[in-house]
Amino acid sequence: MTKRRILGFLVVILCLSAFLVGCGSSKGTSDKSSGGGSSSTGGNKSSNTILVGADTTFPPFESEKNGTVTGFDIEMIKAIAKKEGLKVEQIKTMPFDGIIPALQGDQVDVAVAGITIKTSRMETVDFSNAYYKSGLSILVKKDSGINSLDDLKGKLVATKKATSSVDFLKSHGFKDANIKQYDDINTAYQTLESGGADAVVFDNPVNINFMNSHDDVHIVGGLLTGEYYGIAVTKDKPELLKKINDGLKAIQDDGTYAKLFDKYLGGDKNGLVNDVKAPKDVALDDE
Amino acid sequence: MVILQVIWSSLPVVLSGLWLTIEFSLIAIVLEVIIGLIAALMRLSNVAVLRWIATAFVELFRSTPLLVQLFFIVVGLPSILPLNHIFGPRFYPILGAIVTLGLNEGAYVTEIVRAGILGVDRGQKEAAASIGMNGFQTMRYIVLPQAFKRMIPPLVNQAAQTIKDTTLLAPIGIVEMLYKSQTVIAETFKAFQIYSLVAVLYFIIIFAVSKLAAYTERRLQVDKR
Repeated sequence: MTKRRILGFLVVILCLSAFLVGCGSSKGTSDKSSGGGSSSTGGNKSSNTILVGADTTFPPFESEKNGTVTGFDIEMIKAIAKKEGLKVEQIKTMPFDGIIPALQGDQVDVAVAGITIKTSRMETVDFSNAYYKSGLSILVKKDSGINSLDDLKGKLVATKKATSSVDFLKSHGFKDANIKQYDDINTAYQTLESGGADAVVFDNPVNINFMNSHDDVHIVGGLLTGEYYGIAVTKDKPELLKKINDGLKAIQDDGTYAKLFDKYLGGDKNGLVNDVKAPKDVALDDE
Repeated sequence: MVILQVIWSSLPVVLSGLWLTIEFSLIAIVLEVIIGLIAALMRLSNVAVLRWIATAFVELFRSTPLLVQLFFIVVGLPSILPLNHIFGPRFYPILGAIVTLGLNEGAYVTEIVRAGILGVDRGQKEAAASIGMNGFQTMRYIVLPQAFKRMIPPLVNQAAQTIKDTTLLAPIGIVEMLYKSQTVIAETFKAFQIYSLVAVLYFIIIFAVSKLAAYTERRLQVDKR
């Protein structure tokens, strides 16, 4: 290496650094375009038919099997509609990102997609009373002898990289070396299955979904955190919101609601909401 | 100058990851050179079985993506073999990942070494035979020294490639620089700044190694003298 080459090398580094410092101050904002709903049939609907938006990539709440949309949320909204004399005209599937925009644009009247009630979302859409309590839970092998968060101290926990579960574990005294983070939650489950980790700490519904298809694991220690799912309703139809709430109350009272837990959630009743929980009381404050 | 504050505060964590990246790279480079040498000699041997095994190894590792190989060995294999219990759940992923990396890059090194040996002029071998050397001596004193000269530049290149490929350890949960930086981003949400820092750090070490390759190439121009 001649002196000149070293000099050239340094110049390149300096240029890069200068470029970065220069760029660092600019701030870009991008707004999400609404996801693809099918063509809107809004406008000429009679008042007792509803269009339902759903994201079908969230089993066991919504999933699509051989072209039919099924799941906890889907069956629940149909039961509610039946109670209230409403007709579900169509279930429109769309990506989760597109759901709130679709409600705002009146492409759908209500949406079910395991939507967490958040204060920021309440500004743009209305929520029904809470119908499900979600949060993080602990999934372990049945023979592990782990029964609570305390039992996990010093053991290996697998989860998805950079999610709230990592924040939770760190704030509860788990060391970095004991948290295995993967880009994909399925890798974390594989690691648990093959003995590479002692537990998976992740969103309870996702844990339930894995548990439903694997006999050797179970959920212990209840919910570690709390957030609530609600049915989102367009702000333009307060009377519809009332009907949804009445219907929800009715299926809670007659047992239809509890049966859904057995059918779709493997009997896991951690998320059961027994009473009326108004959205403003349970909203996750994210502002 | 906020960007510099973010970078400054995240530096200790990212640098601890850089150290791991360098560590993994060095082990993998040593491993791949050893594997490459052995496999190349197998490919050039007179025993058909050895040739066949080495060829199969090279083709297998060159014809599948490294990321798939890593997932297969580190995530897939333990689900049918009790590897996590034998080596321990903390150690096995690192062991599996380094060995996979070494094998993958070793397949490329095999070809570099083979080409280097075959590149030595036949006349050299004939000359060695004519002064009464046996096969081993010919290899040891005549062919290999000349072959090594040709191999060094592409080998240094392969070392740079190995450093780049260590980033593929992050998705399978192995802690190195990229993984560390992603955890910092998760806490600070400063993706641009942190990735900038990471890119610059990678650039510095890989550019240095690449320059080393160019330098050795100039020093060892066998043919042009």
